[in-house]
Amino acid sequence: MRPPPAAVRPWLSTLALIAGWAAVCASGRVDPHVLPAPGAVLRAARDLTLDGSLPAALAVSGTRVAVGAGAGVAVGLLLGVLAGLSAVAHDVVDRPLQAVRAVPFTAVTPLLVVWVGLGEPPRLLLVAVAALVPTYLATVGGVRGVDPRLRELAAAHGLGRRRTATRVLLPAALPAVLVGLRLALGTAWVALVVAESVNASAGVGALLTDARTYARTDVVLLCVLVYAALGLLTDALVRALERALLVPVPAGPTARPAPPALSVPDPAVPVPVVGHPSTTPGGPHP
Amino acid sequence: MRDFFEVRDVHVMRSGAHGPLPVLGGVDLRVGRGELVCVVGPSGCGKSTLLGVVAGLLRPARGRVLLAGRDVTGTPAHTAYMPQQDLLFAWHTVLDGVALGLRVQRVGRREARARARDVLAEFGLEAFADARPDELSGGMRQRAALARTVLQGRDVVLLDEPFGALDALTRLDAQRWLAATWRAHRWTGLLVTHDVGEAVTLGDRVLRLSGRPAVVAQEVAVDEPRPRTPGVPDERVVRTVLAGLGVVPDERAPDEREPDERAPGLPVRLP
Repeated sequence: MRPPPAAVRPWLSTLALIAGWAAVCASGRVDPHVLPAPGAVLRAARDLTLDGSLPAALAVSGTRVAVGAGAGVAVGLLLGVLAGLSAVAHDVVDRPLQAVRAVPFTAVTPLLVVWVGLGEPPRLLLVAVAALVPTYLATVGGVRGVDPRLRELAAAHGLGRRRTATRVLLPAALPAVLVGLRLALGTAWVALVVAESVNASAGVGALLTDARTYARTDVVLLCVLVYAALGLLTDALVRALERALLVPVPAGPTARPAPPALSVPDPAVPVPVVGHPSTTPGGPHP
Repeated sequence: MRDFFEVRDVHVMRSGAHGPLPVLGGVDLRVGRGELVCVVGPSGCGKSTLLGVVAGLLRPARGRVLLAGRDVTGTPAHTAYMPQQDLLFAWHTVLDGVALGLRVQRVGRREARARARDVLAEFGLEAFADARPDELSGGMRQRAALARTVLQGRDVVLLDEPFGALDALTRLDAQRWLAATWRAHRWTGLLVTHDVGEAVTLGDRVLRLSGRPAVVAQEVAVDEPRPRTPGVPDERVVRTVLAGLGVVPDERAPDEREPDERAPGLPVRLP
């Protein structure tokens, strides 16, 4: 039997699971309210698309993530670059953000509602902060983790501080930043789900809450799958960005141990393990 | 004329676990125009530290670096410095990477690329101009890094173990090529190597640094006329340098040696 083509292979196990799910439901041994069949979920999708509620919900949720995560990523990048390049900025910004990272956002949502009011602001803020923290962490780690010998080389060529930062440090940090971006979008979606589950008026979360109220398990399952698909979509967008921006770096041992830099790097800064694009989850690049 | 650039009484300290550690303890040297001086010494950071001081990347605790009479201590970008690792930027093609020095000096992109192409052709890498550094072998990357170094157009060239990563045969080839290119361009500078034979093949003079705190413990002129044959350095000079390290040919008969020294084919006595 010929092996299946490469494009299809990663999907085979998923297809098998769906087929298994359909088979279990078709056997009649499971209550359709507990586990709706794939067919039922598809029918619900069709109905909700036809009456407009699914597209509207997608638009609302998508906009929330675009605006919230967009703002969060932008601020995270800015703070990360500043903290990476300036010791003063790092001292000011790093500890508070590390503290924020430790706070679970399920706990924070009611507090945000009290502080910021009801409606969109607390939702957007939650998504923004959820996107900001991983972006900041990856950016500051990437900038500070750049090989100090590259800095020396830049100095030897006559690059001043500003040009070293723009022409050497930031490009060298880009792989780490993109990994952070992927993580940030992942957390942003989780934050969105939480934000939309509390007092949602529109969006996929509202659809989900309504479905729970009316015990429409097929719609509940549909919403969960929609969230998953949206998360995969944004992940694929970032991976496309990675392919466009990054040079694939072959991961592998170097031929000999690297000689130390002439200058001594700051011992207080832990050097993070920067993820290569080729080793982060999501499969190899084509 | 021995004073195109000069290193005067340079002391460098490093912070150690129990206080400051001296690395360089008063290094003096002078290099004349067109001279290639090779620096050898025990492994550790002394030789690279010296190059770092000459390159202006490290400010010494004491002492000065003078270039054509001007004090350039602690000021980078007066010399063309090539570190041990090629450090070619992964996000540039080889062409743009080599052109880095010119772009830094505000040369226009088209002209910088044209000049980079010329240098790459001279170094035998013109076919790889549009490749990425990770597509090149180690030897090719070193050559590209050297191309980048010399394209800066500075008079003084500092090379830190440029052939350390190359296999023995490629190394001989590279030595012959460097000797010819050095003469053709009339560069001045220092080459650090742990290989005494290489130092004697390439250098007009060989300086040996002692262990920490390092000083110039020995200076030997290499009079052999050029072009020299790589791999067959002047025996006499090599022996002089090794003698300075306490490594001498063992002239005793086998039965005069201690039991543990009777290994056949052991031509030297180590200190």
